[in-house]
Amino acid sequence: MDHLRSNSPDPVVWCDSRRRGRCWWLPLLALSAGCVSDGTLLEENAAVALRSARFQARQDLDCPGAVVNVLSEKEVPGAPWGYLYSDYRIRAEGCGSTAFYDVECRDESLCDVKRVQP
Amino acid sequence: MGGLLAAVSVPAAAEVTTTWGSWAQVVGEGNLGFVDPRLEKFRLWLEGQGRWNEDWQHFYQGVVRAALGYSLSDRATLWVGYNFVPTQLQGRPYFAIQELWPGFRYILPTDFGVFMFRTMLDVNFIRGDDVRFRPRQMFRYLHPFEFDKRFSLVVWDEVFVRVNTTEWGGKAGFDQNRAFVGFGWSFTPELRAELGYMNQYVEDRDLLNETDNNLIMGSLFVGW
Repeated sequence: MDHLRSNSPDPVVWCDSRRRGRCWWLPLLALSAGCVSDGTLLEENAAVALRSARFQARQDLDCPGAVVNVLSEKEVPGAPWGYLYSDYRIRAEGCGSTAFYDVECRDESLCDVKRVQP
Repeated sequence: MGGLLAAVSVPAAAEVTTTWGSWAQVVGEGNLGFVDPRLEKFRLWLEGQGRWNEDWQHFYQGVVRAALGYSLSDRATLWVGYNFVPTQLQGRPYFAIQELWPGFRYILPTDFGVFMFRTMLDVNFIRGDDVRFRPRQMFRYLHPFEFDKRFSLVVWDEVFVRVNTTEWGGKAGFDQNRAFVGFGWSFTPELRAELGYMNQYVEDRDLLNETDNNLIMGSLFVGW
């Protein structure tokens, strides 16, 4: 049990609640961890992206009953120092045809829809 | 008594010199996925600037900036970069500043606009090996207008502080502030132009006098 009485210096304690001010960085860490989550924007813009793709697919496929679903989604920065865009790869199907779309939405009212190859 | 009074040094009132000019910049940025898909988290930032002063009569400074970034997420990016700043002030010899800097940028989209926070630590090699450390912090806000979301209000401020005293870089303390207000137009998600007014308020090397630069600033931002 000698090692418990070691004369080695105290281990570095990054956050000691008994010492005032030592934990100042914890809220910052929590805040930054929350800030790097990309979930919210993608969830907010998914509905308008699907709506935009469905509208386009019904025209392209000449099929009023075309249905759409999201294959993949990610946030992408646009021009520097500017907006973030939600980027969705969407598959549309109906009347025996299939089409794929790349939909970039800046917010719930501004989307850019491009038909792409699968 | 008169002699005592005369011996007390009274600092001269600060002088503020007002000038007019303009800055123009092209900023390109994108990920390196086009080189290799495994490099998609790495970003490249290339920038060129031209600066005119003396009531637009004199091209006094250029900036070439190149930086490599790593995306912690699509909102947070770590950077390391290099600036080359050739300078020719009216009536003074030409010199070129070189700068190395680490930086961090965070983009926060909200329902009422996009905020950007950018922190950089300029390591200035002005002349010789007398290195100046100058942190700078930018806060930027972009607000799309309801009547046309391609059109936006742009407001930002960036403050610079000299951490250490150097022969060519001046005394430690406040260095300068840049404040901008203008408008932006998004041609496509990858191409945006901005035009506006920038006020650059600069301390001199002895922290005695200031220069108030009134600038028309035009920018072109290209993403890939």
